[in-house]
Amino acid sequence: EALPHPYPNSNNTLTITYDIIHSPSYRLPVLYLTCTTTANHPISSPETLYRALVPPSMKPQIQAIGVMGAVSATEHPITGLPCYFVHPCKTADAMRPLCAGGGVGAERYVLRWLGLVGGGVGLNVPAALAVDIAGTGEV
Amino acid sequence: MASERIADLQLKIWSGSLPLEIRLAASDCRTYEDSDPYFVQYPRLSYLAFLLPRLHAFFAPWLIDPAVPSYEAWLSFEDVPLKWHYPTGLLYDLYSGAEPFNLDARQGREEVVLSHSTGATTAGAVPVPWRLTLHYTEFPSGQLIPLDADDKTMRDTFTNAMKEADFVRNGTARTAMSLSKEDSDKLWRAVQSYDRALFNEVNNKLLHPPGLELRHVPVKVYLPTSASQTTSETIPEEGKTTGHLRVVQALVPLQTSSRQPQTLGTALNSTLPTIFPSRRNPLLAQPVLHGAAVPMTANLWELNRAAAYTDGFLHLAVVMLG
Repeated sequence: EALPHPYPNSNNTLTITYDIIHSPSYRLPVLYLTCTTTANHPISSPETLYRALVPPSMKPQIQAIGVMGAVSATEHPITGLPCYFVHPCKTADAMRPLCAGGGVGAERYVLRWLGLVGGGVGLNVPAALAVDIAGTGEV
Repeated sequence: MASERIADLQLKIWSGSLPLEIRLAASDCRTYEDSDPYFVQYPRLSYLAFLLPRLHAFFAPWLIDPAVPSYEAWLSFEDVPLKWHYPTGLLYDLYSGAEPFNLDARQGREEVVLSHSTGATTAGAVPVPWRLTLHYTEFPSGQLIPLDADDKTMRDTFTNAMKEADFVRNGTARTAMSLSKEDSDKLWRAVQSYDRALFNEVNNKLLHPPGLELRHVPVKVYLPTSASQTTSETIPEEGKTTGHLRVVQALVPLQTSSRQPQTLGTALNSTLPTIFPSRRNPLLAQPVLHGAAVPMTANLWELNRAAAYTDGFLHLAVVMLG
């Protein structure tokens, strides 16, 4: 899914493509962000990415969540091109209480994971989608 | 294999280096193609980004725009931009086209493999220098991760790889994540300055975490795109992908399902059965590490201990045969 985010004070558009890819090493879903921009200002660091994604007013709250870990530069596991990813180190620990009691299928796992990991980097699940999945059982 | 033998092999691997001949791109050179070439014997296990300040100083007299910072430069081999986060030896194994050093499979012992591979690049043979081009303009931001003045990106990508290797080995990255600031700085300094003793000081803590059992061997396999077409999967071609590779990673346990020690051959056969149909013989392709075609019978964990790159991974290039 590609969500366009307008740069503040500019006519240029930053497009971020989010990919959720299963990591064979961590055995978890990992969120990748590939950035392209029409401006001549490529996203050259995680800091620049944060500035584009997270409004300054929200930063302290995002950082306080802490559970998603840092965003780092890497190469996309499929395209091999430069992108960013949300570090999965703390994800397993954070997901455990959300899956307690068992019976969490793949769809519901990803939805909960998205809520945990995606929110801090501008990826919010549309309410309609959440309701739709919830209709198939407990979310 | 005894720890002493492994340490000895590790020393030989760390002594392995490549002759580089670096020329300034004509479009960035005041005298077009007339700049002197820069020659260096560069360690296989090191990263090219660390060369940039030296290259900048050397080529300064010829630069059209000497104000461009050294970290905005980039290197290419035959028009393929070289990725910063790949160690030099891996880039060479993948792109140089050099014939891998072939060993008699019947010798099949890691020590023979590795001493031959370093011999080919140090004392014995006189290999042709690897000719690279240095650029200061038109940074390919769609293909290369941008660098910065303090090597922060280099450190970040290295640290992530090192943590991933730790997670693969033990099922948790807590050893890597709980390194003291002092140890973590030491490790990075050792990588930047290529200091094997300093590196081992910290790396040995990572390899021997108290209370944790070794589970998997960190391995990454790099396939040329033509190889991946022999499988049934399709790879999306993204525009200009000269030198496009497929990176394969799977969790490789220390032992096979029949409780035998995992060898390079058993690992490749279970991960990529169409490219490595035999566990003992390279029929369609060879695994290349540090310039040598490694015998399939090599014990995988011992190979990792002796010949892993600084991030803890065995980065294997696959070279198709015939």
